[in-house]
Amino acid sequence: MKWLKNKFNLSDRGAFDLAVAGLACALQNLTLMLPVGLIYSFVMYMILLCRSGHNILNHSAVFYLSTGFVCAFLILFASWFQYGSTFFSAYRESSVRRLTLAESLRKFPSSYKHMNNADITASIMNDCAVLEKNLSQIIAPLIGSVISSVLTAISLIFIDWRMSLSVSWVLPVSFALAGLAFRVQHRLSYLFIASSYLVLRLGIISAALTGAFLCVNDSLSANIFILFIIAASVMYNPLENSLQNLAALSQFKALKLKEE
Amino acid sequence: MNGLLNFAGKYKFLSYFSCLLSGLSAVTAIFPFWYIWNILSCVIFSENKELIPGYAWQSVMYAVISILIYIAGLLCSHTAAFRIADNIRRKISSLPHELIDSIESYIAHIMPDSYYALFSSFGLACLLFRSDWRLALVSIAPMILGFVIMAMTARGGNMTKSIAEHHKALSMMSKETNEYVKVIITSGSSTQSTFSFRRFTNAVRNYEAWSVSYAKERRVPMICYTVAVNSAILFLIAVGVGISRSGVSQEFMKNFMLAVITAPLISVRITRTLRLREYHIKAYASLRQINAVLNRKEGY
Repeated sequence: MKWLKNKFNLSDRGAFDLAVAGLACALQNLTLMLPVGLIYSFVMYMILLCRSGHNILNHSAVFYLSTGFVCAFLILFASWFQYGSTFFSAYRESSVRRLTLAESLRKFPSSYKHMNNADITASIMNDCAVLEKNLSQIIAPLIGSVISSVLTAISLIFIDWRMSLSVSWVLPVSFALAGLAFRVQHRLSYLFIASSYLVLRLGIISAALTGAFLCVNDSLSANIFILFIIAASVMYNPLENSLQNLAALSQFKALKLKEE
Repeated sequence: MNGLLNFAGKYKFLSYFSCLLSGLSAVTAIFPFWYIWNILSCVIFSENKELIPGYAWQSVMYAVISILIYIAGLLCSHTAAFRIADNIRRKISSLPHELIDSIESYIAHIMPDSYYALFSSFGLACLLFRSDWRLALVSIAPMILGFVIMAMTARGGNMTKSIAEHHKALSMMSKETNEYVKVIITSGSSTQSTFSFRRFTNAVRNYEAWSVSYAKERRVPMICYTVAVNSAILFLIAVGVGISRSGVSQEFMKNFMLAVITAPLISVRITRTLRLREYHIKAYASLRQINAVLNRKEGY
């Protein structure tokens, strides 16, 4: 909480709200993984039907359709919670920041009198607007996607550690590249962020490669292989989106550095 | 956009080349899915197992080629973007950093990204249509549903009224901030009356109240849109249930697997293309500002 407060210059309430918003985004991302479990079960059932030549049973059809509706409802519920905790708190914090800035301006030494008030006003308004947008649309989803990706990777270890490793090695590499983007020169930061989400695209490929060789050697069942391929096609999407949005944030930070 | 690219001088072709490379990278990135699909087919039906390692390596090869092409595209776009930004700075030194940075970011990052997202979603949809048109339609149906939801809720008098209210609240807050800062700078904080601070506080609170009420108004459509674009897999289950009532053929099962691994990606890429439209609009606005400054300079 303290780290968030110092990093993004937030009030106590703002730091707490940002943490809640990050958790809400993580919850939403995890609910988006629920259909993966359902489609895996459905694919397995369809393979059985395909091999046996039977038609789908009525109660199975009802089960899959109703579970699908439950999944949609859970996504709806998580999205409702995520939207409320992300946007409303960002606006409240933005308002607090504007008033705090105004209070700080009153205490400025008189040597600042030569400054153009239109410039200061424009800077304050613009910075507050940018921070408001970044908090709600970039930082909270990024925190959420990091949490949900790590949780998904950890939960996959319990199914098969070899496949889990092949799926999740891209995550630390991607985080490291994204982190480095803030430590290098402004113009290079774009390339680092681009590399961070390009690496994620290798996740499904490495899962396919590892799974293919394990299946050929009969040390992995087809079911587990299918599960990991389906999971890998979905699990990186929130993180890839967040990292693409991070490009805008790195641009903003570089701009602030220039102004300082 | 041509006007903006003209600032690149002889490096202008690099911008076009970066878009071309991004498109090529997106098309190349579809091949790994084709090979993964083949691996899945072999694994599910235990046939041609000897081909699996070959498919796996080919998927790796195409993925690496795709990434290398994309990086080459990024290098081209960055070279052009830095040249454009430097030339604009040289011509108009008074332009704010933010404006030039947004243009630089657009040319370097957003332009190749949007071409990648566009070609990728189009290519994946074509691959699906080639295998089974019914599954292809179902895979893009959530996106269409999402657009319909947004189009239905984002048009009409309410939206225009909301935008007008936003501008009013924002301009009121800007005015009060300006007034507040002016008083501090011209006559010092000691001469500031409680009224000017109260007016400023009220303006900030009004803007917050407006923002929260607008966010509440947009909550239901946005959530419905989120659920719609993320429900490709649920749509596939519904269609799978419908079709499997008359039996599941091996051919359909294979195509279904392709739809399962590509449908979520199509949604993500199309959504990305739409989100990038915001940056297009910003870049056009920046270009208009630059042109206005240049025209004024020529007038003098």
